[in-house]
Amino acid sequence: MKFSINKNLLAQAASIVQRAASTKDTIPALSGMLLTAEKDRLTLQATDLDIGIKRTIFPADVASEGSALVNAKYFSDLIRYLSEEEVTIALDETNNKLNVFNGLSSSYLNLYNPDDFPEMPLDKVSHISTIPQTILKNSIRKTIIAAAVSHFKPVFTGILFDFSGDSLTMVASDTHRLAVIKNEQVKSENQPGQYIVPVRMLSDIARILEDSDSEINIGLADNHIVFYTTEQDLSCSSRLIEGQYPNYIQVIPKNFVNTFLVNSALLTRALERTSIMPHDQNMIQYVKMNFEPEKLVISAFSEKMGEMTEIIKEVEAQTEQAVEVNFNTRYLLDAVKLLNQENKNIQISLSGPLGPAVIKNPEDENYTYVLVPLRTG
Amino acid sequence: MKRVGCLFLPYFLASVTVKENPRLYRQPVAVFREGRVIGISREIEDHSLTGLPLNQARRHCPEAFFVEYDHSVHRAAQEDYLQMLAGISPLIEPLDEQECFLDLNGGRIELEMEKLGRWFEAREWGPVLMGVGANKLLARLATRVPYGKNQTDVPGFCCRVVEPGQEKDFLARIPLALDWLLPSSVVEKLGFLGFTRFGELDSLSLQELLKILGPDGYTVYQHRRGRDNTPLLGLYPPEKLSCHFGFDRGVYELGPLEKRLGEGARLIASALRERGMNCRQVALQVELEGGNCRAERRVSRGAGEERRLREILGILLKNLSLTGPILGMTLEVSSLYRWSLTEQDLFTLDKRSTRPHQELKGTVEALEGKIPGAVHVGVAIDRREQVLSLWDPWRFGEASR
Repeated sequence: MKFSINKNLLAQAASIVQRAASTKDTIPALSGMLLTAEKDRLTLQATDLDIGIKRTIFPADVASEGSALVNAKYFSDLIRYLSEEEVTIALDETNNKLNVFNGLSSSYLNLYNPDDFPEMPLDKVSHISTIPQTILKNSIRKTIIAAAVSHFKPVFTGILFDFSGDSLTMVASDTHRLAVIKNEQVKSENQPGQYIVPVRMLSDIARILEDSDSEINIGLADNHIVFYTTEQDLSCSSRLIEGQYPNYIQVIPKNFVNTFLVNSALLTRALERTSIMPHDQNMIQYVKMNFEPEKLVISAFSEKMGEMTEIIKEVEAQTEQAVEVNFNTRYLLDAVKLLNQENKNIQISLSGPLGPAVIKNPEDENYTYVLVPLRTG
Repeated sequence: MKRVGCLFLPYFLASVTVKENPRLYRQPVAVFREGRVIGISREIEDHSLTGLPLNQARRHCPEAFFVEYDHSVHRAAQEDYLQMLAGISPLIEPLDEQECFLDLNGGRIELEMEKLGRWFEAREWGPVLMGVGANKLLARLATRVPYGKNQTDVPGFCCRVVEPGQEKDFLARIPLALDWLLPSSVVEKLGFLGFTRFGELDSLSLQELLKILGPDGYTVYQHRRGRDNTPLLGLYPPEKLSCHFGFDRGVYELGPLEKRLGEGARLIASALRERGMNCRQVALQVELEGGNCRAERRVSRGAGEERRLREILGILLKNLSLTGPILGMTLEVSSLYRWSLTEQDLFTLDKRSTRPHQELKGTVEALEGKIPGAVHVGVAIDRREQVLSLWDPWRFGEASR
């Protein structure tokens, strides 16, 4: 195998593919990146068996076809720091090395056996739906905040993809909060289905996806979900999380004690200030929010630091009822920061001091963030 | 300015022992625990036995009666006076059986001291020394300055207040050895250099003190200026906090009382918060000429927040039938528990949080069906009016019931 290719193209592709490689050394092939040169293109792929990424780049000046398996991290780092525009890579089969030439510099990398590289389930994908990349990226960004990093019920460490007709509803929850977004701009195969995709994969996908209207396909292969472009230059697969996602519709409250419209910029700044308050030992960092018809009083207390009170007067209440609730500062700030970028106001609907609250953009019915207040005892 | 009191009962342990064993009356008594003397009677004050190992103390003062500390007797007596102090101060920090600090902010010292004096005199536990200052250092040192030749000359109850602005003058004549916060090596080192009293340290700058004593020099420098940063840690009582207000001329109107209630609620809420505690029981006791009257309220949800506490105290005040001048008032919170916040699970959320709302809605609908037009939702109605509107047979005929 021997080919020459633009260094920037290769570096960009390698850094994307490298994310799927295992960081553990238990099975060397899983920490490797498979390079395959054929015709006028180069394909890079890596997988740790849970997720896999395959990227094809062209044009590549392929002198001789072939493949090689190198350590993904070393390869990606090496290519990133090369200085010249063009890089030539050649496989030295006699010494089992991969030579990398860039201008006057040359280096070689040790190889793994390419036969050890596991096959990725990309050949037998059945298409489910197609969605614009920017919409998928935005939906992941808005739901991923509510997913759990770790949870004894694995379904909460993923995002639920709920296909129904021509809509895709994405749901994430760590059981203390829930983020739901409904997308109508989906071309679907009209087959309803629910799939739970691990957060790790989706955070990588969100980085790779472009802010453009170009589309990305979603398909299924064995027990994997696959995101792939129509041109087949990018494919990402992930093992699905097994299990039944709880009924998320029934936990979204319908009746509220009062609904408030709060200036989002002021609320964000106030919460950011209160979030600097350190949390005391064995205590959750929290804010006490006193919603009154004409103002919102936010206060935070820390034994270590002191007390902070913020008053926001740019508040519109639906009724005269005042409500006092305690929220986890971080959970609330996550949603408020997101919605602050979209609208001047944030709508907060409260169903009592201990009942779940619904936070949303008043002009967007498709996104809902449900947050449960803290219980004081 | 913060006011901290230090209550010192120099012969408390021996006095309690003597009261239990009258045959020891006017005899030299030393109380020991775990092989070490922890309290003496005034008869052997000059022997400086406190803190000595038992064998050494026996050699030192063979004529003394050595009595072992009796937990049930001595602890009960200590509990007795600590409970009384808890009615005066929301924060009490016992140092040992014979000494404690108390927070005296918010009350009238003169009135409280009189009350304290009368209470302790009745117990006959020997002289009672009270020091009051802006911090624990000043308060404790104020109890150590001799009133006469020795502590025997002290009358029943003595209170010395270190007034704000007088700290430096007060400290000038105090021996450094009395500063229990300084390591003995520091006192010895300063003594070796000829500094035995705080006043003598004026000639040394902070830099010189740091050079001589290292980091301890900063502590000495601060103490010389009457500053002490040791925090007041409320350790007693574990289950009750209170705040007392005295009115020397008596109060006839509710206005000043409500103002004091607000102040007390703030103090107690802050003390609770500092301890990370909350309370379920709130009581208000008002001192009248004819005796005390008391109102209590138990709440299922914690009442430790200032606003809620003020609301509950306001209700309790209105419930009391007050006649004549009010001489004092004690706010008390009990059934304390550690305050905590817990995350709720959205998918297994306790339905109780929404149930009362739904239950009320159901009840209102049922009543509306039964007695149309009689139920007014969201309108504040007098309780009697509300009951009558539902049950008064004169208003509704048989048909409507």
